[in-house]
Amino acid sequence: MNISLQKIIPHPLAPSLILPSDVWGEEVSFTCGTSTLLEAQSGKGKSTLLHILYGMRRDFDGFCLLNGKDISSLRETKWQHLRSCKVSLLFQDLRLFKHMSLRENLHLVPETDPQAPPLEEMCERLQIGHLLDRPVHTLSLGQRQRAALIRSLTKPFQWLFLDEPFSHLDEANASEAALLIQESKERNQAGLLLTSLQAECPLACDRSLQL
Amino acid sequence: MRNRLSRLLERCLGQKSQRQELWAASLGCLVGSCLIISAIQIYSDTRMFTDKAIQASSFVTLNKKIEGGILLNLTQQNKAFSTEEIERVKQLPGVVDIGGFSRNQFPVTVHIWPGGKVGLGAAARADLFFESIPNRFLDQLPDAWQWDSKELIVPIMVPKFYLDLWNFGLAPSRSEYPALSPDAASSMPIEIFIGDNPPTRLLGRFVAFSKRINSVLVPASFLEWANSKFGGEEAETYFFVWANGTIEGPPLSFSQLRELNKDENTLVSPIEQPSEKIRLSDALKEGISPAGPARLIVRLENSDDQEFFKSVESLGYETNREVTHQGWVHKGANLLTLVLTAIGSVLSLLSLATFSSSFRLLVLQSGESIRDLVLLGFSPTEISRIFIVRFTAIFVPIWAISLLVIYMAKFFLVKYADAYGLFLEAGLGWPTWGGAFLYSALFVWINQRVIRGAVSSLS
Repeated sequence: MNISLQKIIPHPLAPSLILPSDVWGEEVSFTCGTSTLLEAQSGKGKSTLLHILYGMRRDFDGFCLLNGKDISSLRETKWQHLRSCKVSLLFQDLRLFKHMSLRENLHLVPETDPQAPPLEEMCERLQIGHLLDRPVHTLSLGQRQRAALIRSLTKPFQWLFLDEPFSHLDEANASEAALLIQESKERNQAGLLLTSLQAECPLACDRSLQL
Repeated sequence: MRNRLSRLLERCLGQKSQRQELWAASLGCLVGSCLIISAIQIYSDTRMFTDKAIQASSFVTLNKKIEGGILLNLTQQNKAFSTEEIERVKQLPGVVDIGGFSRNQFPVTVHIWPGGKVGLGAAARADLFFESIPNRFLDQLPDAWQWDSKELIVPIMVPKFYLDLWNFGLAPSRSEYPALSPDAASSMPIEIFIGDNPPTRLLGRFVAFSKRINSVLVPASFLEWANSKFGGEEAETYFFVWANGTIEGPPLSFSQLRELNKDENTLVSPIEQPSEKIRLSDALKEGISPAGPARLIVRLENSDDQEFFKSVESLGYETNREVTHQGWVHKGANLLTLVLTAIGSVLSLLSLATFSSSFRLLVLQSGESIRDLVLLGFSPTEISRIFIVRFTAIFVPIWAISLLVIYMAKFFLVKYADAYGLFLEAGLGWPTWGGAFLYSALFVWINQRVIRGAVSSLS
C-alpha cells in the first residue's frame, strides 16, 4: 500500500508560513516498507499531515492517493476498515480513556496483531508494567505516551504514523521505544511516517523530509 | 474476545448517565404502555360483547301499546296484529324477516322443583304463559326442542335473565331456593298444570336459556296440540255486530259469530277496532284468527336502523329498546377505547420523546470517547449497539411489567364480571399481544434510529 501526495496545501495553514517545504505543494510518494522522518518546527503542519493521511481532515487542496485512489472518495466504512487493521496512528494528544485502567486502554482496540509481543512484555520493556491496573488519569505524561505507543503497536498495520512519539520520554525510554517501533515495523513489513521537532531522532529512518 | 471487547466498550461509554430523565421516561413509558395495551384489550372485550349483543339485538319484538285504565283493558281482550298490520310491518325499511308469537289459550300454572325431584323440598309456583315462535328466530335450537304428542316432557326455553333473577334475586332471599347453574336449572323437574276443574298435569324441563327472546317459549308443535286440546273461548277476540249504523247487542265471540243467523252482508268489527267494519261473510271466510299474534318478532338488516324505529313508533307500536341501548353501550365502549388510546398515545409519545432525547444526550455526552473509538477503528454500529443494549435493558422490563399489570387486571376483572354473571374470556386476546408487540417494535425501532443517528453524527 503506497501513499502519494500531489500538491497538498492544508487550508488552516497559510502558504507563506509553510512554504517552501519538501512536502506541502510538492509531489511526494511514500512506499510501504520504508521509514520517513517528517521534521519541522512547531506550527508547520506535522500533525495536520498525519491527520490528512488518517482521514481525520479533508480541508486541503491537492490530492492524496492511497494505492492510486483518492482518499477524499473513501467512504466511512472503508476508513473504519483501514483504521482497524491497515493503518495505526499514535496521536500527539494520545487519546487514552482516562477513566479506564492502563490494561483496559491497551485492550480496547478493534483488532489485535496476533504476531505482536504480549502487552505485559512491551509494558515491561517501556517500564510501565507495574502500572497496568492503574487508572490512566493517575499516570504521568511520559507514562501515558509510552502506553499510547504500545496501543498503536498492538494493532495490525501496513502503515504506522507516529506523531512526536518521543516528545515526553527520557533518553533510555526513547531508545527502548525506538527499538520496539523498529521491531514492529519489520514484523509487519510496514511503512513508517514519524514526525519530530528535532533532527536528532532515536530512530534511524530511510529518509528525512522537511515540512 | 468479542464479549471482552463489548464489556470494555460498555465501560468506556458507561460513565455518563441521565438518571433522573431516564427514571421519568421509564415511568411515562410504563403508564403509556399500560394504557395502550389496556385500550386494545378493552376494545377487544367490548367488541366481543357488543358484537354478540348486536347480533342478538338485530331481532326486535313488536307489540301494540297497552294504554288506558284497567276497566278499558278488561274489555279489550287482546292487542293482536291483523294480517294487514303484519303485512305493513313486513314492508317497513330494514325488515328482513318477520314472525308471530303464538300463545297459549288456556291457563297455565307451573311448579318448579329446585330440589331435583317432584315433592322434594319446596316448589316455586307461578301462573305462567307459553309462547312459541318459528324455529328460525331462535338463537339456539336444542335437540330436545322437538316435541310430539308421545313425548312425556315438555321442553321449555326461558330468557337467560330469568335464571339471573332467580340466582341474584330470589335465591338469596329464600333459603329453600338454591342458586342454580344453567345445567342444574335444566335438570329441575317442572310440573305444568293446564286448565281448571280439574287441571291436567304435564311434566316439563328447561332445555335452554335464550339471550334473544324475552318470553317463555315452548315448541310450536306442543302449543298447537295444547291449544286444540285445552284451548277455550275465553281467549278469543270479541266482535261488535252492526245494524242500521249502530252496534247491536253485546259483543260476540268468534264461535258465537259462526252460529249467528244473520244476513251475510251484516257488518261486524273487532272490539278493539270498532271502526274497522267488515262483512260477516268475509270475517268468517278469512277466518279472522281469534288470537292473531299479539307480539311479532322482526329480524332487521341493521340493528340500529333509526328509520325502522321511527316508522314503528308512528304506527303506535312498541319495540324492545334493547337495540338502542346496546348501540349506546357500543358507542360508550368505543369512546372509552378512544380516550384510553389517546391518553396512552400522548403519554407514550412523551415517554418516547424523553427516552429518545435522554439517550441522544447520553450519546452526545460520550461524544469525545465515541470520536476516539471511531478513530481507533471501531464502527459506529458497534458503538451504537452499546447504547441500544442499554436502552433495551430498560425498555423490555417496562414493557413486560405493563403486560403483567394488564394481565393481572384482566384476571381480576374476569372474576369480578363472573360474579355478575357476565362472561369474559380469560387472559389477553391476540389483538392485545399483537398490538403490544407492534408498539414495542415501534418504540425500539424509533429509539434505535435516534441512537444510531446520534452516534453517526459524531463519527
